[in-house]
Amino acid sequence: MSVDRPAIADSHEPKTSHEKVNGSNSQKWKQDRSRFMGETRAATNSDSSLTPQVFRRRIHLTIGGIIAFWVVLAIRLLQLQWIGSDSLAAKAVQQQSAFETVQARPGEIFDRNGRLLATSVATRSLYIDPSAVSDISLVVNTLSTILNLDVDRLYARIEANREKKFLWIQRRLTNEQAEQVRQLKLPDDWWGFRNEYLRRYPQGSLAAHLIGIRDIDGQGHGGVEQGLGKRLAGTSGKRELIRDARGRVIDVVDIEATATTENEQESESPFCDGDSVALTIDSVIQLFAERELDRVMQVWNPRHCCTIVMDPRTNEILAMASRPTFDPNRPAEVSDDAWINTTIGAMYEPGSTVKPLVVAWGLQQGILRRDERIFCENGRYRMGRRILRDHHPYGWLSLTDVIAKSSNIGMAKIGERLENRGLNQAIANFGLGKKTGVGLPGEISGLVRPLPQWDLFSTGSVPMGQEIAITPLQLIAAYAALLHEGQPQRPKIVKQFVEPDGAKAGADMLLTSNPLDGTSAEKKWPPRINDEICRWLIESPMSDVVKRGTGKRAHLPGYAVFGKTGTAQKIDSQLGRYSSERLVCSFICGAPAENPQLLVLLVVDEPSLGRNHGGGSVAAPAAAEILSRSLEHLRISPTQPGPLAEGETSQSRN
Amino acid sequence: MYFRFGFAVILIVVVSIAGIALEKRSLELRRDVSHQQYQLDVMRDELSESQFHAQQLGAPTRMLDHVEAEQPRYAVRDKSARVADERSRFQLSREDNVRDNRSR
Repeated sequence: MSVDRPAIADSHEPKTSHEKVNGSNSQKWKQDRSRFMGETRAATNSDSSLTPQVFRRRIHLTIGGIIAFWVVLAIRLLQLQWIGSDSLAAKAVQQQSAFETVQARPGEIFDRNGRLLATSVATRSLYIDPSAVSDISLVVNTLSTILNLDVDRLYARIEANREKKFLWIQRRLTNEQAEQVRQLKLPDDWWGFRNEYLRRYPQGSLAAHLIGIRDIDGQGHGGVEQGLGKRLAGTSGKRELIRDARGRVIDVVDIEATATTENEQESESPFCDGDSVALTIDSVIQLFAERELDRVMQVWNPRHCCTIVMDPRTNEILAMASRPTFDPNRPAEVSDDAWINTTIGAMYEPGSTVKPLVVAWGLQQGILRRDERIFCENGRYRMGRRILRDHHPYGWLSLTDVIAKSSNIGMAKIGERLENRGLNQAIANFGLGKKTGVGLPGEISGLVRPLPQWDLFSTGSVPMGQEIAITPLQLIAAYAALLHEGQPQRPKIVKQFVEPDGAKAGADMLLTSNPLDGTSAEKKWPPRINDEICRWLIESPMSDVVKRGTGKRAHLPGYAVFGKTGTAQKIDSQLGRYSSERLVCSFICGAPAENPQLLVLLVVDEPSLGRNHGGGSVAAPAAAEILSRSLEHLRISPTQPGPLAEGETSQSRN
Repeated sequence: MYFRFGFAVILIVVVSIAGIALEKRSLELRRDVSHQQYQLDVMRDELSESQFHAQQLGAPTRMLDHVEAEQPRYAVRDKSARVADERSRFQLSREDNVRDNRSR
């Protein structure tokens, strides 16, 4: 390059005057250049390697190096971005993200006023990885001290499960125990905590049968805990966490479902906490009911007793209690007989409490008249080979008195008129011997034999509540039906569901069809019993039962109470006939008669203490007490004038 | 030209630094959000425990006996019983007042 320069310079020699002027400058430039080149040559002569070829080669090498560098970079980029992209991306995700199991929080159970009946409290459960533990004695000695565990047994357990990766040491530790375990600072890969929920029942044994229990594995047993188990349990899942370079969580990406806590099966539904549920029961009325049952147990010492309080306008159950009972906070201490919710899980012959239902059906069928009188044979009536007796000898009784005085002979004569077919229709119409569909587990259907098996005995027995076995809930539902013109009614236990985000859902029950007919629960039936008949039954014969009949002890000042006693003999299996000693005493009552707002049923099975066992003496006072307190609690004002107080006039009262 | 070049370089650096700062702040906020999510879980646990204790303390089983011991049942009692109750309560309170005055 430097060689060509002079030639180029020579071809530009100045020719014009102007160029001549500049010629001196050009000359000067030439001299400078030759001086410079000479110096350069002198310098290159001193370092023989820096020839132009070497220089050129070096430049080429540099350029080649840069190109090679970029090619390598491009290849590496290609390798990273294209060839190994999937595996590298997976590796990156693996480093960044982590999964943790999230237990669904079981929903809470409230009463109708928002009182908490069941809740879940978070606890820590301790596990170890036996295969990773290198010093078993260290683990055993430290943990057994903190958790009060037997050293030898714990050692043996860990030894026996040496191959496994997971072994529970203790579940549901207290906060103090968990903190003490943390302070031990055992190697991280030896142990861990897992969050679990412990079910707690703040009201203790209140409504224990209705609520049921949820065990250590989250399984519901009995009551709403079992009946609504899946909805309450929710769906457990896994939470994906994005971590930074230091392992700190920077984002919680998503939660996906893994399994339901109810049955630990794979589920495709998304993760969600359990729904809460508001029941129809009122804790205060429930408490009144339970206290009365405790009193009955104390005074009469029966095998068991139970009670139901219901609002017949809405069919909502306000209280449901059974004795013996248990504390759901201490499931290990529950005795075997205490598990049964006798309101739905035990059947009995209802006795005289079915008489108003049979009379209602007879009136509706037109075989009875309200003003009719029935001859009660002075307390002794032969029916085939059987002789029926009344408690007191009665002659002619009005239809009202047949119920008020609970005449068996009068009812047997009504049974003769209805015949077995009519009696069977009456029983079926009121849903006796069929599940009510309340939605609680363990409900039994009772026992009503098929019509072909009914005989002459049945004609006399069924109208007085023998030969059929029903549950207390069926009986109270039958009375609710009577108050709804004979239309089948399904008792309600759920008022509403509350989703985890606070949204409220209606009380869609477990069943979609009416259990009595297999049809839609919402279907409106034509009246099966005339409204006037129902009204008359409530306001006349059943009110007379309380005013002057067998249920006088249920009288409440200021309220028009209606009711019916029942004293049913139990079958003595050894003698093969009805026992006069073993009785089921029951009483169903309600108020106010003009507009029934409450129904109370109380059943006492085999009272053993005291004398004169009967529905009127054993069950009526307790049922009336529940009714009275419930009326007071619900602020249902008295409808009838009570006795005037000293110094009070009827005007001042008004 | 040097000035323009320098300015461009500074601008790029400043924008980069601002981007890094924003990214850092964004990460911090996301960490805070996830932290709060955990905090929410913890607080829900504490809330349910507190609710449990509160409901246990205020359970009708515990309270009703005390309430009934102090309050006469008006609704189902007749007027005479109510009047008698009122009288006895009034007399008791008056006697208490007299006693208090004497002691003073």
